[in-house]
Amino acid sequence: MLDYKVQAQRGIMNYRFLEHTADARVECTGATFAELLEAAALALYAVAFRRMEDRSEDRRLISIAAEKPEDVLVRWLQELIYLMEAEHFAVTRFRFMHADANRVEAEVQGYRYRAEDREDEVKAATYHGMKVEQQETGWRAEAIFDL
Amino acid sequence: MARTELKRINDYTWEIPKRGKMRVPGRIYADAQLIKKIEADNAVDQVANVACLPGIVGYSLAMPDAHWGYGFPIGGVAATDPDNDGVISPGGVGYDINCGVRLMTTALDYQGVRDRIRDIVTGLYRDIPCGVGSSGAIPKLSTKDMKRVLSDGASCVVEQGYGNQEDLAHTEEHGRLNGADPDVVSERAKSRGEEQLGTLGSGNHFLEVGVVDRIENAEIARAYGLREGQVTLMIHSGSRGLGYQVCDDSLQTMVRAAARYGIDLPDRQLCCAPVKSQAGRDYLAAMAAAANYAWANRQVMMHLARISLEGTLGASAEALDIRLVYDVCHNIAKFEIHEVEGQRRRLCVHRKGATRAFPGNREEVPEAYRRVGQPVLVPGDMGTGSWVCAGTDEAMTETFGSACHGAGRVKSRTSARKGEDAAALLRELEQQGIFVMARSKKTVTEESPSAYKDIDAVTAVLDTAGISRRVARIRPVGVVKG
Repeated sequence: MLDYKVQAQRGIMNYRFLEHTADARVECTGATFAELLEAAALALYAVAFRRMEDRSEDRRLISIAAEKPEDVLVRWLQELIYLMEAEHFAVTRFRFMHADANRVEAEVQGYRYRAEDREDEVKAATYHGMKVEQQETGWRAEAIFDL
Repeated sequence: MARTELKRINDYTWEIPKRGKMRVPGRIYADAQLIKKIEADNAVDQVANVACLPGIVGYSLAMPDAHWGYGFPIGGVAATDPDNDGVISPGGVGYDINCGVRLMTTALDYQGVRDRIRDIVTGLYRDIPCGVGSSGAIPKLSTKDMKRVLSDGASCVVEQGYGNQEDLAHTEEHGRLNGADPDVVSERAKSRGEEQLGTLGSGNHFLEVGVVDRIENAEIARAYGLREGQVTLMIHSGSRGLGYQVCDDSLQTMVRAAARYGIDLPDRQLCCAPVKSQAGRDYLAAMAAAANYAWANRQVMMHLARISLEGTLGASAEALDIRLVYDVCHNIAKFEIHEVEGQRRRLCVHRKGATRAFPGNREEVPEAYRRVGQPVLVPGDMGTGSWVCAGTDEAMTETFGSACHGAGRVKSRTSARKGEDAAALLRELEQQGIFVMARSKKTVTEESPSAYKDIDAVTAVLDTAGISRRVARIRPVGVVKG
C-alpha cells in the first residue's frame, strides 16, 4: 500500500471535496474496496490535519462487519475518528487482510500526532449523504464529515 | 425525494404540503429573502424528510436560521408522541448533544473598560482551553467523577466550587436532565470526555465579550439584568468528544432498530426507534448523560472566565458581579407537555439547532423570569451581533415553544475561505472595535461574518411571527475562537 506522502507526491489522491453549507462533503474512488477505504481515510485526514508526518511507530487492528457497504465505510471512518480524537493516533500505512463491501480486517500503522498539527475537529462521518457504488472501473463513494 | 414545492401562508410562514410518505406538513419560518437562502440548499427537502418520522405531530418545523444539516436540517424542530408510536431520532439531536449558549452579565460598563478589552480577551484565551481536541482545563476526571458529571450535570461541578446556586437556577433544566444513566454511555465516549471538561473546542464554538448596544424591550431587559452599555460574556460550546461518541454509538443501534420496527426512512441519518422501545430508552438515557456533561462543561468554563476576569482587571468577584442570565441548549430532545388539537399531550420534542422559547407561565422557566418569559439566546456572527429574545405564548401554539439558535450559515466553509485572508479579516474586525484571538486562521476565515445570514433579519422573523420577542442586541467587542 502507498502511504499518505507517497500518494500526495504522485498526485493520485483519489478524493475531491464537494460543496456543503456547513460541513465537509467528499467524493472518493478506488479500483478496489480497499483503495476506496484508503481514499476516504486520506480525505478525513485532509480535513483534520494541517500537516502529517511520515511515521509509523505503532499499530492498531480494525475489524468491521456490516450488511451494507455504506455501513462499512461509516464504521471505518468512525474507527479512524475515534483513534484520532481519543488516542491522538494518525494512520500513515494501511494493510488490509480482507476488504470487501461487508467485511474489513485491517492492520493500520501510524503515530501519535502533535496537537499543533491538527486543523479541523471532525465530529463524525454521517449516514446522511453516504453513498457507495460499484462501477465498471471500481468503487465510488460520497461521504459527509460533520465539523 | 423530488424538489419540494413551498406554499406561502403569510409573509413569514411557508408550508410544505403533505405528500408521499410525509405524515404531517412542513412549516418554515422565514421572510422572502431568507426563504430563498433556505431553498438554495437541501434544508427544505430535509424538513419534508423529518415529516415522515413515525408519531410526529403538528408540523415538521424549521426556524429562520435553517440550513442543510445531516438528517434533520439545522434549525429543525419535530415533536413526536410516545403514546402513538412516536420515535426518538439521534439525528434530531445531533452529534454535539446539548450544544448551547450561556450569557452572563457583568457590573462593567464598556466605556470604563474599552482600553482593557484586549487584555480581557488575552486572559480568556489563556485561561480557557480552546481549539481542536482542547483539554486540561481541570484535572482529568476519575471514573467516579465522570459518573457524577454524567448523572448530575452542572450541580456536580458547582458543589466542587465551580459556580453557585444562582447559576443553576438560571440554567435550562437546572443544568441536569433527568433520566441520565452513565452505565449506558460507552467507555469510548467516556474516554473522549475525561480530559475535555471545561474546554471550548473549535469550529463555530466561541467565547465572546460583548456590549449591550440596544434595548428593544425595557421591561424584559430589566428582568434579565441587561442595561445599555453593559459588558457581557457569552459562551457557545457543547458536550465535546463525549457527546459526538454517544451519537455515533447510538446510530449503529438505531439503524438496526429502525429496520426491526419496519420504519421506512428517507435518509438513514434519521434512523430512530420508538421512544418506548429499549433502543429508544437507552439512547435517551445516554443523551441525557451527555447533556449533563455539556452543562457541566459550560459551567466550568463560566467559572474559569470569572477567575480570568478577576485576575486581568484586579477586581473582586463582588465588584465584577458576573451573573448568569441564562444557559440554553439547542441540540436536544426533551419531554414536554404541549397542547395539540385541543389536547394536552406529553411529547418528545427534538430541537436540532433550535432553542426552547417558553413563555413565563411554564413551570420550566426560572422563577425570576416567570413574568416575562424565558431568555432566548440567538448569537450571530463574530462581526455583527447577537440578540437576547424572550419566549412567548405564540411559540407554544406555533413551534412547540421553539425559536432559532443563531444566524445560520449561508456560505460553505470552502466558499467562506475563498478570497478571505485571516490577517486582513482580523485587522478589519479590529478597526470595527472587535478584538479576535483564534487558534486557527482557517477557522477565522470560515467563520467570517459573510458566511452567516443577517442576524437582525433572522430575529426580526421571530419577532414578527411572534415566536419570540426581541429584547436586547449585543455587539461583540472581543472574541475567542478555537
